[in-house]
Amino acid sequence: MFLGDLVAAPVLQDGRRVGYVADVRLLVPPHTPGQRVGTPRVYGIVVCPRRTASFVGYERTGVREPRLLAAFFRWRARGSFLVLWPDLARVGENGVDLRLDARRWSADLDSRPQL
Amino acid sequence: MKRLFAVALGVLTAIGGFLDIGDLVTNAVVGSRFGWSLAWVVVVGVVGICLFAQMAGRVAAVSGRATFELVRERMGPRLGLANLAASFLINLLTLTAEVGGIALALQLASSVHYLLWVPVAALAVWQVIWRVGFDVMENVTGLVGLLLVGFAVAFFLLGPDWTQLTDQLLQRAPHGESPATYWFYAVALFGAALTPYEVFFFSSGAVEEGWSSEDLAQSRLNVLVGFPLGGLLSLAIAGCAALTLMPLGVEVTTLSQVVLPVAEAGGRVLLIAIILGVVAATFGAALETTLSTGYTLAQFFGWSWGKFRAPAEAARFHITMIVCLLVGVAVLATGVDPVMVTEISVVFSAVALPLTYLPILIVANDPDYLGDQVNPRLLNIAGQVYFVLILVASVAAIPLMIVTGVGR
Amino acid sequence: MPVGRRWLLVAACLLLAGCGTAEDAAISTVQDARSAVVVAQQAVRLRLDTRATTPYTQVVLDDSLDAVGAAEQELRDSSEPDRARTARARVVLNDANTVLDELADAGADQMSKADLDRLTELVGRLDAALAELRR
Repeated sequence: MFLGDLVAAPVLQDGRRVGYVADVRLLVPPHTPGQRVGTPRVYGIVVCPRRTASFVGYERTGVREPRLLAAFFRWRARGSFLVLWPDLARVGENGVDLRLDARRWSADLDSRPQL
Repeated sequence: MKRLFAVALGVLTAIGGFLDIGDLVTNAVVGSRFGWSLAWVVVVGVVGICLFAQMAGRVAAVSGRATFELVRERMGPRLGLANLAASFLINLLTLTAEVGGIALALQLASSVHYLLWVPVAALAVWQVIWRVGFDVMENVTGLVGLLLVGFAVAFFLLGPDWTQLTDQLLQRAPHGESPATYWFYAVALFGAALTPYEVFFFSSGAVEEGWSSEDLAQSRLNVLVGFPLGGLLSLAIAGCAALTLMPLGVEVTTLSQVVLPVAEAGGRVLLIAIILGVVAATFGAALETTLSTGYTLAQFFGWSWGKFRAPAEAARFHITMIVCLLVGVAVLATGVDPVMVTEISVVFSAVALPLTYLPILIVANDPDYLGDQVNPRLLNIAGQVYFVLILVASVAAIPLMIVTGVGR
Repeated sequence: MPVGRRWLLVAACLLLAGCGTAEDAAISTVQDARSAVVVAQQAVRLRLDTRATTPYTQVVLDDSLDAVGAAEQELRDSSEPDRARTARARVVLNDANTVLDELADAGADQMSKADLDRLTELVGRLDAALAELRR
């Protein structure tokens, strides 16, 4: 499966659609056994209630300018949440199923990511 | 002394490089029909291009990334691809108009039919892109393009009637056109002044020339002095048409009419100088739009790009440009009027403007890219006001085009 | 939902297109021709004053001839109901075509005072036709 198949896929919970995959969060571990560098791993998915939303970088709480655009894009992505990979029940051809007890985390990125 | 020379060269090429076929045609059409009634749009447009060009230049110099690398990184796959498709197609349309413009200008010089010049022009553009260095290319076309200052000379030789022009400027003179037509041309003029390719070419050019934070002062000077002076030339073109063609009841539809006031004012010498200037300006713009087709695709898909690389090292970049030039030639070969292509291209430029300006405005505020060189507060306020203007123009463009039948 | 929005947009465009005022073809085509002939007249005058180059004047003559040809075509394609008006426009467009064709054929380097007078007289005829059509 490709990461590209996951992006924009519908997300279901208990047979009900709760949104679409807006983003996939990766984690790069400092070390993977048998390799020089860590292999990135999927850490969780960001679910947005609307299909058309994109964060355009404003998921980082440290970026608030220009005001109007930041407010607009935050508003477009309102109601988004992060679900960790273990909380996914099934990832298939026609979407993602969340477990019934899947925990919804804030989609905000608090600290500035290190480039 | 050497420093002063570099500064002067930068400013002069910015003036000479400011005008392209879209500016030439749209300003003359507007001048012949509305006089200086729409001159305010040129002023608004020039302030806008100054704001965004210096933002794009700063982003490129500090982060080393050009516009479409940012689009891919910031807008996500779906929005990014839509943006690429629209910007690319409109740039291709502008490229077609510029190549047509070179051919029309060469026709004015030789009276050989422009369709015979089209392949020659396209071949010359490709050869320059393939062989000539970036600096030489920019400086030569920019400096020869300075001959368009002849429009300002002609304007003063014609003995402008300042009370009449001021009346037009202050909307006190009736122009006998419908409000829809007035606003259609306002949008077209706005699109001509802020053409999207100017921004992505400017930011890619900054990467080509290897700008760093130290070059920012020079780039800011080029933009803030060169572009407004280029804008004055736009006003002179409109003014020439207003003084000569408007009283005759002639509405500009061909390039030969655009330069008629110059012959009236300055005779053969000035006419020849202007025609040469038009060739240089359209040739420079054709180079820039052709490079822009390569820049946009290569930057978005992550191919190697840039004239600083040998063609073999950036094969897809160069092939894109060759294919796009051939497409432009094929479109012109159908016999479609290049002036019409130009008028449509400036309107669609207005439609596409938000796609280019939005990512720049966002990234110019991103501390991850720019550190402490993010936009200051005041610039953000101005940038957002302009973004609203750009959105309004973009939304209004197509309905106005339909209602007025492309300004007929 | 997005599909609905798209149809709404198409409907709005069609509505807008419908609002575009249908222009009087006889007047607009004669106006286009007049504009082209005036430019040719100016260019020939400048050529006689040695203020315009020969190739430039030739291009203006060719462009003007093309414009008049396009105006004639537009008049033929139009659905102007009034036959008398169409006929009036056609006659004067045909005159313009004849004069410009002869001058463009003769070449810009052969222009004389007589040719300029022909063009000036032609502008007068176009103006008269316009005044008549507008009545």
